[in-house]
Amino acid sequence: MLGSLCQLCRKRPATTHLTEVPLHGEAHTLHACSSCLKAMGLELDREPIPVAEILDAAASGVAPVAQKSEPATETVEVGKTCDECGLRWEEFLESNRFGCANDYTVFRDKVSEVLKEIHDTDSHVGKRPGDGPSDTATLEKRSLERQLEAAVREEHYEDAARLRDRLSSLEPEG
Amino acid sequence: MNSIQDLSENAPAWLHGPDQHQGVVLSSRIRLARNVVDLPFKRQQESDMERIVGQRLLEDFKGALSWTGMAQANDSMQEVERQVLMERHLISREHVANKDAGFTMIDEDESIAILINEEDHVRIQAIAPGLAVAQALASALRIDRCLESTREWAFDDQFGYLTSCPTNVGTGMRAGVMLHLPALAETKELAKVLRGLSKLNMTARGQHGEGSEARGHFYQVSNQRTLGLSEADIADSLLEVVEQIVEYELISRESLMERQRDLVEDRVFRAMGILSGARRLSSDELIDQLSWLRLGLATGVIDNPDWRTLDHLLICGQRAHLEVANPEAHESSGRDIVRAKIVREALTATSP
Repeated sequence: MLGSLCQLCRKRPATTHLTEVPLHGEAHTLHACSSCLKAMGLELDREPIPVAEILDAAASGVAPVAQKSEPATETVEVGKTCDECGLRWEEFLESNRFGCANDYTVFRDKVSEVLKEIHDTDSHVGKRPGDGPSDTATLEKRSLERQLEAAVREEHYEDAARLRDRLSSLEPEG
Repeated sequence: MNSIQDLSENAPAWLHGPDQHQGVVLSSRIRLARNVVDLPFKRQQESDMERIVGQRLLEDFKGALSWTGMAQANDSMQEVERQVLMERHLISREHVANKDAGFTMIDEDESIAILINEEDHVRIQAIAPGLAVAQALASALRIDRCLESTREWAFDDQFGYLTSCPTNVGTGMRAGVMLHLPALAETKELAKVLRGLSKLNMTARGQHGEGSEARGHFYQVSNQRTLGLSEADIADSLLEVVEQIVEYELISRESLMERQRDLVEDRVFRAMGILSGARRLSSDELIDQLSWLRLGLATGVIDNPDWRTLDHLLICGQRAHLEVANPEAHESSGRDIVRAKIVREALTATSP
């Protein structure tokens, strides 16, 4: 369910769709992403955008905008963009939210760094999809056993009795 | 499922008195964050697409769970009704605001809540009374396994369950225990405890979670790390920390009663006086005074009202609960009058 690709860089999803209807001849539609429009210095509310012209340029290979020389002051790399949701890493840094699961793959190395900062590690060790009921029962059993030890240690015998009953109800019958 | 009107007149089943730890532990909860593979994460701006996807998730989840509880679109409830659910700790603040694309499922005894299109596509929440982290974890995992049969979750071999915010990635699990810590607060030991928590990758928040104030010394202690630990490890380490805090609170109560019994008695009986006599009560004042009554009951300063009454007032004296249960509580001055009245009535009903 992807939107169309930007006709200029052919990488990012198009976020702007401009149709030019000339007095004569057929209408032209340009699908572009905001980065490309910005790189070309085009602002929607400032002037009419010469859609047919841009399309011609793009078709003849004259204006593959992403490769076009950028202003020297702009040092930010026109880095990777998620090909599914269009997220750029800078956008993630601003919001601290990912746009889709694919971002984790596209930016894997950077994600690893961020996760190490937050969680001291970048590797999952817990449950996986499809883990069966036995795993859940084991989890519950282990946790109950710990609670039972603590209850006995702290001489909460009523709690201990209840926990022991729950534990024995988890054991297979017979 | 009871209507929200019915809910608003009773405390939830999982909140029931001091059966362990003298009322220090109120409830345990587990939350699992899940996203559906190949769908973009939830956006700031809700879209028609998200609503359609959410509706389908709701229908499929109902089928998979043979659901008999409440299951509805957030926009089919009034905002104040969603707030009732928040005051009962069933949905998050964020989900209250999530009007157009959000869906909510809550089971009959209010021990399971499934939020669709919150920050992640699906949030599974299980609540159990008292210190029962393992029990809540087992229920949440049971639901997860069941929902897994309807959709493939976004999962990565290295990173685990993938979530919109990197702070939830891995297990997607938040385990929390609600605690009442008045003696630690009174003896000024609480700050030390709370500082110690962050070293253990745990955090303490007010009773309504992120950004809420810890009124009445009710705190929710929960894990911060979700990655690199198994679900059972997270539950175990939370349990270990909570047991220590509970122990510390109980010791503080003993020493408070030894050294300053008159101060505790003074505050408890004043609280009783205010709650049984006031004609207008704000929700802050109610929580503050209920906190003293809970401490009074736990330490034997009073033996009335009972725990059930205190739990009931703690939940049903909140703003949205009053508004839904009482038409005259819609504006704030009327609300304070209604609040004072139900508190007086509840206290007289249980006095010997």
